[in-house]
Amino acid sequence: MRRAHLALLIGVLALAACGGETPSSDADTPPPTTAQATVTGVVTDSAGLPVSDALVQPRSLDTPPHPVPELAVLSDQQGRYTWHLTPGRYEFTATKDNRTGPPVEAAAEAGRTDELDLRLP
Amino acid sequence: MNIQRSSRRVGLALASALLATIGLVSTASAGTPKGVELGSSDTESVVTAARTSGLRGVSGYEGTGVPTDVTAYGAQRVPAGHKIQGYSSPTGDDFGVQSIIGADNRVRVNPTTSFPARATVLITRTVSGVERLHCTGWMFGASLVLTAGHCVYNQSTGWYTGQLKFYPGANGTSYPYGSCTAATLRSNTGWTTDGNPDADYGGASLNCSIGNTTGWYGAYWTTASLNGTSTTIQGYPGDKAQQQWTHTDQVRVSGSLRLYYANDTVGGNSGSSVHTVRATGSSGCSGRCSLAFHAYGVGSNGYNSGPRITESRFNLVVGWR
Repeated sequence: MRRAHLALLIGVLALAACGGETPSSDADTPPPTTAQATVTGVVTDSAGLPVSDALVQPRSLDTPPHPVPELAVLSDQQGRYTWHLTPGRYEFTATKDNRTGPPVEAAAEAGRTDELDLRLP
Repeated sequence: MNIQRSSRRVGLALASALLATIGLVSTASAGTPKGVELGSSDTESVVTAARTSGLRGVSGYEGTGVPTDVTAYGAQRVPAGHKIQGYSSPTGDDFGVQSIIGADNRVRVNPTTSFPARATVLITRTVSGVERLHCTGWMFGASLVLTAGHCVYNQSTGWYTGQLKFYPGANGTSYPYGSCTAATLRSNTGWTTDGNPDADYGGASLNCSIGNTTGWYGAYWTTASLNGTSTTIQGYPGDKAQQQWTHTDQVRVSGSLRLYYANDTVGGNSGSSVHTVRATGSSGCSGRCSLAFHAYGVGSNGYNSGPRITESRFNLVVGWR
């Protein structure tokens, strides 16, 4: 009888642990496990001065394109922004006060950090 | 004798749990290559849902309106003019954002003290002492905000613990419901371990019960196609200086784990409720009923998208309440 109970318990646990979408929270603090690409850089104006609070947006250039998370990524006081993305080719633009700079391309690789500065007109 | 009876009961309970779990696997794994989605703290509701077929949900609650004192709900007062870094541009298509599909058809929501505007939540993130617009969320209980998984957990850096603030019904530089912080950030292993965009949803249990006055959205799941169902996305796009904007379209492609639509959105809209309006008395959910969590700009099929609320996801987030 005890063996039967044990077998049932193991069965339940095995099924519950077979992957998928079990809840997680910051109380669990699992380490990040997926290899993303990082693109970071500084947004500057035509005088070369850093621009804060510019909205920096990537666009996937791959076919098919990678959908891009719709986070608001704004440059900080030093003009610096950072995006973590699925590896691939992207085009980045910075926008502020109705000014949009020219798009700049980056080939983002998993586990690597690429520097990509952006310019506002 | 007592031992035998007790042993029989334990056996019965285990067998029931096993059968329920098997039932859930067969229900939830249809069209779900990543496997079963189980909630740990909501086992009973999962089993109940597994017995139901087709559609199940909960209606929203419209709340009581503007409180005389937000601190009565555990929220912090936020003075008008409180500075959150962001900016405003007149139209999103001025800067060629892909997720503005065609012309920019977004409309500003002003004031934000009616429902569901007051249950729509501006999420900010503070880094190096500077608070900036980050995402959107939606109330789904007195103390629960739901949003995209990537708004609470970054695949490279981990949880945004201690960095996020939640402002229900924020309106430019006015914050009629104050702000709350998170007691617990929540997501699921499909996102935090696998990084699967189809599982990119999460939430935050707040240190306040402001939902009692803002109200909260309803939600439902269905196994049927949702093609043609109207979709409204209401939230805080990054080009609109903490103002709330909305646009209505419809489900264009109905995947088993993801919905695709042509609502106009911009970075900052992540985590918005993708909802439809259902008539009073509709089964499962009536009023403002969420179908998905907005998460991504234009993908391979030319539409914006977000993880669909499925049966197991519904059970999981209800368990967070």
